[in-house]
Amino acid sequence: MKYIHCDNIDWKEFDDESVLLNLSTGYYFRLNQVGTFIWPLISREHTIGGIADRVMEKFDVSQRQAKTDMHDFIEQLLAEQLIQKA
Amino acid sequence: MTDYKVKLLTLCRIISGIPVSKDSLSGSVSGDDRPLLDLLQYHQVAALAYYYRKPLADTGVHFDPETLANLKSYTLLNISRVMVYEHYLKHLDDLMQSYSVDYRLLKGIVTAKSVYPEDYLRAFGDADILIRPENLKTVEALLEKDSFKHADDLYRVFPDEIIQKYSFAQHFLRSEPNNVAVDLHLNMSGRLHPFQFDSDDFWDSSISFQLDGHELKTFDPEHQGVYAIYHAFKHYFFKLIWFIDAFLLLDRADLDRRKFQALIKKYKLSKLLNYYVSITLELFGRLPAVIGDYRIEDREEHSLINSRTILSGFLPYSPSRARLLLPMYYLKGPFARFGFLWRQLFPPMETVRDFYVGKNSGKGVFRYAKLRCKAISDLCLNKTKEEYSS
Repeated sequence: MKYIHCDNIDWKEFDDESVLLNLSTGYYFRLNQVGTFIWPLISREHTIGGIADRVMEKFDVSQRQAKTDMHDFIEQLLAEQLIQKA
Repeated sequence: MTDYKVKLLTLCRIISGIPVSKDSLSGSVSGDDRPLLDLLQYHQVAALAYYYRKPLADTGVHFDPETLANLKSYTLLNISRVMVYEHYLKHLDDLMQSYSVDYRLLKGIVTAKSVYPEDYLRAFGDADILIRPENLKTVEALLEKDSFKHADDLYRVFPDEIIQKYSFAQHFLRSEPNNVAVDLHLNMSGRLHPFQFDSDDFWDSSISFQLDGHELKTFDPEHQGVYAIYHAFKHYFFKLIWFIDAFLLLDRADLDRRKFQALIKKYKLSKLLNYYVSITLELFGRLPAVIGDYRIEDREEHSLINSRTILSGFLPYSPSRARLLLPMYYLKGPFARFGFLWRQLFPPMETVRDFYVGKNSGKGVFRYAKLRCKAISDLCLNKTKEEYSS
């Protein structure tokens, strides 16, 4: 499964963390270090499984943990209309 | 000097570029960070403390990990706000242009973009916009159409003609879909304020500035600098961020000294400038470039409003007493001072009619008498911290 960023989303990185702004709603979200690593990878080039593998390598977590966290994160991003299916 | 005041003072010195060594400031720099965090938030300098954490650490000022995490959170909040306002102000500019409304952006985001090393270092909670009084209705309609709602503040009880006559700012609550708040200003100073600015002079001194590729308008650096000093006074100097604003604005290399001096003279701000100089020297260890070789006659010091009281976050006056008393120090000459005090305690009949004598004149006169008694009581009794904190 692949996802892409929705239009009208602004993103700024700061000290390993970042802020996502939904320009349509005016709501902003803080991404932690893992979320900040994942956000730029969400694109037509990467599957969710592929991103989870990179998270596993980067943050030294189990494959199961990476996939569960990835799934939860994607659900939240979809709910806030920050990403959509590619 | 207490631990947290030393830390705040060190932050000011780092901002002004004054070399600070571990031994140069007297006082302890270790201890509980909780009062400091409260104070940094109060003075709206939490993001600055985070930004300068390394130079602060080099001088022996350290924050505990929990405080650092909190400072980082405030910084991220500021970053979010800049993003939100940048986006909205571009949209608002398009709206204003479509209605052919001329306007100027003031303070917050302009200062953040113009003089701070990073725009997120200057915290702000709304967009201050100056419009011509005759455009008030159009802009209100435009904002309401854009889902803004008026704040339920004091000024809403007054009819439009009073709002225009006394140049009250119009405060809008945040617009839900836009997540922003706007303050509409009709003038640079209210009719009842001790110092009066010529709005046309400000309008005529406009310059463009870039907001993420969008060209907006504000005032030239000299007018911004003069207004920053006045703005700090208007709010009784009670937040450090206003001193930092004024310092950075007046430290700009592109400021024209002669023009700045002429504005100080024109608006009778020389005495206010003298007080500002005293406090600034104490806080920053040097004067901003434009004042650096501007000869200050009779540097004035205020026994109660000084760097220590400002850093502590508590004024020695209640706000109502400060409103009456501070102009006594900053206005030049006994005539101007007495005139201001008299106007405040016993406003002219026209003002009395405007505010206190309406349809129910009996109630209006009673209210007037009650408020005058309160003004005299505020002047005579110093309630200070209790009233201030409430």
